[in-house]
Amino acid sequence: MSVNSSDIRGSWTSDSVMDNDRLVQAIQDGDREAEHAFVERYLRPVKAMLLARSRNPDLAADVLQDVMMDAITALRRGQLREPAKLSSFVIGIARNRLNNHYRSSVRQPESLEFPDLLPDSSSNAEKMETQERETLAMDAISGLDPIDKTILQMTLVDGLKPGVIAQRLSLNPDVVRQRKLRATRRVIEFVRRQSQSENPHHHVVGKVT
Amino acid sequence: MTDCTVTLIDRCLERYIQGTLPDSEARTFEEHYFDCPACLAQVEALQAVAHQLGSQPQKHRRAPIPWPVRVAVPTAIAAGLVLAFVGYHSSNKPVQEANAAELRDGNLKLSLDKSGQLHGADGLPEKERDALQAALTTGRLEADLPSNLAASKAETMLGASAATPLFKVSSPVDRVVSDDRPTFKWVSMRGASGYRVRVYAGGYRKVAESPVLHELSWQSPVALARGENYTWTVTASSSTGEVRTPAPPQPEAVFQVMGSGPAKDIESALRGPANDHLLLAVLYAKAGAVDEARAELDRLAAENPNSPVIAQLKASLDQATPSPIKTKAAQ
Repeated sequence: MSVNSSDIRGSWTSDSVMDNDRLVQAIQDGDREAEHAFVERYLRPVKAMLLARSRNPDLAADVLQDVMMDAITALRRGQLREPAKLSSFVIGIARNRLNNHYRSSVRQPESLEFPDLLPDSSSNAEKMETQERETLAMDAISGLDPIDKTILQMTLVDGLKPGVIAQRLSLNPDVVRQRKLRATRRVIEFVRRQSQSENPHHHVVGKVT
Repeated sequence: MTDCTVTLIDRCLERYIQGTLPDSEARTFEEHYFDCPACLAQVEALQAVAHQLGSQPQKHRRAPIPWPVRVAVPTAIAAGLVLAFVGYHSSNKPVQEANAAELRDGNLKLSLDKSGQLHGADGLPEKERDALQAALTTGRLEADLPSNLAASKAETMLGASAATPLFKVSSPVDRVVSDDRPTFKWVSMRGASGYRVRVYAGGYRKVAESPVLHELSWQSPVALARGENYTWTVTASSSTGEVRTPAPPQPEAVFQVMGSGPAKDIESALRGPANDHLLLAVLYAKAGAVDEARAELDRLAAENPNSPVIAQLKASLDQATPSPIKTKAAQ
């Protein structure tokens, strides 16, 4: 059953005064709210990382569940010796999970059942935010000059270098670089600002201090 | 935005999203943005933009070729061919060709020399070798739709409402799927307490129905007939009632289960010892299963980071994405 992690914030919200030591210790002690705080803190960066490394949204979404489960299970067992390295620990788990997926010879769809008593990381609120971000991205793109849009498309989707793009578009490479930089900054700022204004209470998951 | 993000983002973000940032730098960047909300927000924003750009048609303008080049290039090519012919026949030494493309692919190490000859796939049947050679030579995967699929981008359901859908189906939509027990995925509806999936064959005959689900995906327990087209819907329940998607005037969510012939070829390739992702991508694409073909290319890309030929193959697949499928039910 999906549980919206933003609905079950207790004292372990990301803006609580809490450091990694306390979070890791609380999870090891079986504190469920700490586990939810952990999921809330790491869900988005892990998802972004998996997406960047796989470039496959479906795969990233599937592996995301496994990463969060592995991380919480390992923390419950006290497998992290240095809580200060919590982020590195999670990144390592995510990288291993993705590599294992690629190495796996089993190609049947995996059953993604959560073991009992683990917080569900498939938050509907998070999915809704992703959806909203996609819509904002579409709006940002539609406001771009057609050439800027083409340059971004050739850069981000086709992976082409400015020199090649310049050749294909009959432009000076420096012009391509400038337009690319300007367009990139514009769309990022648009999505970021609109996203914040649409979710004024939205927590950007960050380091717990 | 803090100073740290200006430096790091400018240096890393774009290449990180492209997947061309060296692994050591990618790790450093990840260590940073995991604890930096501003950088994380920018990563997510550019990923969303890249995703949207990838799903839009590409209209790349080609530079007009200047007249002197139009004349000079064919002349130079002709001259080169003559010289190569003379050179080849005037020497008794074997010509050692450098590799034009090299890929680690499962248990194979494929290479294409500059004469277009494929190496490293000697254990495969000739037909499969030819398919690999063609893909590497052209940098394209041909996504063929079966002949019984009629493409129709404008296929919509009849109905009155034109309201924005509250939620929507994700996959499979306008796709051939290889698994005869497909997994259905959809995005969530705010306030929904559960979802129910229904799958229909021709004539809107219901062939599968899920129980009430609290997840956003469901695998059909029923094996669907191969080579047949199906439509499917999801109904969300909430305190205000039920909402079905797709609903008029949205297009139907249509898919086809891959026919037996291509499915057998793929099954055979999967059982083979080569674990050959490129071959699987070729076979999936040929059968119209674009998503599976893309997944195989992703696996291949993981084994060959920054390979230009894989980027080309992926781009060709994006351009060759099948048009929406028209079902018997909709006819």
